[in-house]
Amino acid sequence: MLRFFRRLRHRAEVERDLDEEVQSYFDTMVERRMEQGLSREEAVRLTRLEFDGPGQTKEKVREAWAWAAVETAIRDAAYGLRVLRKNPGFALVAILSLALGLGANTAIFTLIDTVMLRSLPVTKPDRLFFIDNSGGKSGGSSGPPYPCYELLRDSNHYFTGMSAFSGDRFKVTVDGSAERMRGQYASGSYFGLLGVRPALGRLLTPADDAVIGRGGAEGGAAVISYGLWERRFGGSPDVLGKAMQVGTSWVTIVGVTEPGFLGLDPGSPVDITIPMVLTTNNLRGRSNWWFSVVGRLKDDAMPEQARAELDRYFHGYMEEIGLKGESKRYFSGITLVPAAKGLEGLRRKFSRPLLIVMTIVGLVLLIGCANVANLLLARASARRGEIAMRLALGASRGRLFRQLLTEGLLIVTASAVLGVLLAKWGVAGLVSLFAGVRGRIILEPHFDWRIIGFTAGAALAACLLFSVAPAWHAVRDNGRSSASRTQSRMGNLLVVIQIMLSAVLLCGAAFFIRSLRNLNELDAGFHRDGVMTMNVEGVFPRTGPPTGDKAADDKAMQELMARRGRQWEELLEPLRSMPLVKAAAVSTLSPLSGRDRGVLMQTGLDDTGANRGIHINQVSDGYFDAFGMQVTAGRLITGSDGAGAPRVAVLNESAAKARFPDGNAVGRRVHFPGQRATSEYEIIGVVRDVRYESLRRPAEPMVYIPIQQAIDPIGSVMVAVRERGDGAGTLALLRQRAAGVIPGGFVANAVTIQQYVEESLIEERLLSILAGLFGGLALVLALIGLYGIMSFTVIRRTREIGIRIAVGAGKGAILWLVLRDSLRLIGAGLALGIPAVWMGSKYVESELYGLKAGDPVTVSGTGLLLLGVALAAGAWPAWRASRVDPLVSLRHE
Amino acid sequence: MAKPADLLQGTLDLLILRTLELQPLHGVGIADRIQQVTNGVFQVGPGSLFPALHRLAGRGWIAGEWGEQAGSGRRVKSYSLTAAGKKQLAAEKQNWRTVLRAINQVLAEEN
Repeated sequence: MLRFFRRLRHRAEVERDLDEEVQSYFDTMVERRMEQGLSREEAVRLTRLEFDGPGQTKEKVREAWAWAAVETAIRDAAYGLRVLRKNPGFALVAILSLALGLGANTAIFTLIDTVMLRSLPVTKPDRLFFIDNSGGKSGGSSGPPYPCYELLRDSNHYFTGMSAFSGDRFKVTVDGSAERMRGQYASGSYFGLLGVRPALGRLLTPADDAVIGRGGAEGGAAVISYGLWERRFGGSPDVLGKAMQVGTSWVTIVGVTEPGFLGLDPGSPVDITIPMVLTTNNLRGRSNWWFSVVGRLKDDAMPEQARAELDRYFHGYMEEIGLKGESKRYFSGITLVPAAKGLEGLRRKFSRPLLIVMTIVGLVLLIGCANVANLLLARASARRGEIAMRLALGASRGRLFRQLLTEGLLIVTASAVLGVLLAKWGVAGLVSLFAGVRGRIILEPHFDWRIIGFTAGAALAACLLFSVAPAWHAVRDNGRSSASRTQSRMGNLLVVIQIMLSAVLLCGAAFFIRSLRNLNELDAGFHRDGVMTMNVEGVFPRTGPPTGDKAADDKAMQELMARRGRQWEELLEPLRSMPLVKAAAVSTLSPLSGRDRGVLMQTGLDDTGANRGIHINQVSDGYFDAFGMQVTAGRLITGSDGAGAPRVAVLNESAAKARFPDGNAVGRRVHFPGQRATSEYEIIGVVRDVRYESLRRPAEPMVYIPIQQAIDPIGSVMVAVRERGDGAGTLALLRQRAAGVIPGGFVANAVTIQQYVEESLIEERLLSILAGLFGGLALVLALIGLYGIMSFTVIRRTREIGIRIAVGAGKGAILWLVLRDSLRLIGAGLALGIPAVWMGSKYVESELYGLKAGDPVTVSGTGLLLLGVALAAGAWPAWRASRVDPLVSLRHE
Repeated sequence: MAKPADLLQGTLDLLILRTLELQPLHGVGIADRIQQVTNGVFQVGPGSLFPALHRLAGRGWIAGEWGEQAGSGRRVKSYSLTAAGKKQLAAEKQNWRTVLRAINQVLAEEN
């Protein structure tokens, strides 16, 4: 690059030089003619004629300059193209193996760029910090209580501003139809602080965030994303001023954010932002921890001094509210987490799998390079005669070297172009893998100069790798007798490396695929087949303010909860009468669908410390049946456990064991402090453990209670249906029913349990799909390499083989002669590969499930598989060798 | 098939190198000297002279240097042979003689 600029500057000097030189010549000739007695005009005219005009002469000189450089390049390229066209098989194999490698690398890099590297599209992202109060473990997801946030915001000296925000899935009703959307509550200063501009209208301002529960002077304002604007409102400017209902609040759309801004949580693009003051959470709560805080540090402020100052205020606040014991340990101080790339949830989850996949595709590219290098080597040796002749005729070594490199560049350019196309297609596939059926993780990769730069860099590195050695080799050994031996030695080395690398990749793939299978076949305590769950939401009116009469308020609340429970159960009636439906139930939670907040449960026994927390699921009759969950003691919840019946609860085995170590849970009584329901519940049964959060993690303690005896008013449920049909009829029926019996009721999504399983295994699937794909590809490339080198060896040794047959060697002996060579290569590759596998599997052990690093069955299995197919690839040339006709082969020479 | 122009181009390079072997000269001087030595058989116009000079300079066989012309005092660029140029000239001379001998033999066979 620098050289280019220097040459540009140099170029101007050279031009001036040329002008002067030509002018000087011109003047001399004119002078000479005048001395011969011509008039000045005549002399100038004649001289000019001679020149064909000085300008043209100069142009010719310039051409002579440029030509020298361009000429060689063009000649090399044309020659390279001709050579490639003459060997279409060679070109095809070379370009395809590199294109697959480069495409895979580009695709994975694009994903890594999207998930791990890209900064938020905001002003000076590196001055943004999340103000986190839990010792940095949550990565900015947990800010202080709202009053403490106000204190920090207003008293600090090092930030230009701070904003609170909290992501949520809103129930949004627009033009009478309700749906779930990703949204967030945010301080009025949020957009200004980040430096986000509107594409239309205006964004939120501090004035919108003035009155709790109300918003600004004109009521609640909402800002929508560019994506939602286009998708839902057709990009129409009429969207401004449109009213919609978010939960139970009415808001007016005031603006659209610029395209590209998706919020601060990568993977969860925000579609609607409404002011923080509209939240249903308690903003005045002095110990409610539920939102995140982002702040912009002043340009001259050091993060550490800013942190120290906030920490002082924070500890003062903690003293004031008198928080102690357990909670204080979680909220031990303020940390500043860099916010340039947004919240780290997605990054933390996928960094490791993505780096593993990047390593895999890097190795695949390496194998591809080895293949092309081998092909070039074989070719270089075939062209030894030609090269020797050209060297003898006076071509410089540098010149020949450059020409062979040009050929490599041609191959790699074609591969890179093809690779980028493949990558675009691959990235689309990966994005939909991440999204799953519910659109859980939305990635928006950008193909820009970073990606192109990466591909170009990888392509150049690949080109150097695969063409320098053969080119150097070809030029150096011009026709000396040792040439062919070093060539085949280098070729053998490359094949051994290929086999070693593909052993590593194949084993890796086997490890990941086996882990995934272990997880898929794991008994998680519930049936996975034939169960569909549908998420039904309601938009319920806000409850009136407390009357002050505690008994009356309590009674009203109990009635509300019972009524809701009955409404939810009413959803099931038409479903249960469908002939194909075997079981139908509602519940607040279903396996792998999400998480509950957890509650405290008191048993009257050892209720101290962490032991008290328990997960809760509020279910209808038929729930356990729908998922095939088995009772181990007592009985399960039935239809008779209604609002008026005695309160009952069912524990899972973990909870029963943890809370009632004497083994007699059934018949004991528990209650849930701090909830709306104050009565005691009698434990009537114990059910087998079910993994709710993840298939990888053992079940945690859980309590089930009847939905009509709920501890809280329930706003949305999961409907689970086990049936023999495809679910389409059920879904339509449920939609209709939800609109009928639930206020503002709608079905948010319909997902089979199998799909939930897939979604929850996304890391494992990502790894096993990609590792499997690329492991297979690596194997094919290595086989091509082995086949190539063995065929080449056979051709080279045709004469020798002919003589051997002529003097009486049997077919078997010849077969073994050649096969022995392949066996030696495969053996060496495996001998190097297996220790590498062993070390490599240590590195990925945390991603495995149900098998250890270096699992001997997996390793030896893949080793045998590789040995088998590699032998087959080597067998064909060997067979051909055994068919050599001695007469033909000897006459040939 | 070599075109006559190719032959001439090669020849002109040889002539220029040979001319500069004796002493450094500027553009006009080179043209004059070639015309003089070949008894006017080769008349080198600026249109072929300058490209040839720059081509040779580009290959590093000759080097140009600015100086004053004796007499007129005009600034002129005079060229001299470099070490690589001397080698190249030797090679081209050899080459030329080989070609010449070969062609002569062909012509001799005719008679």
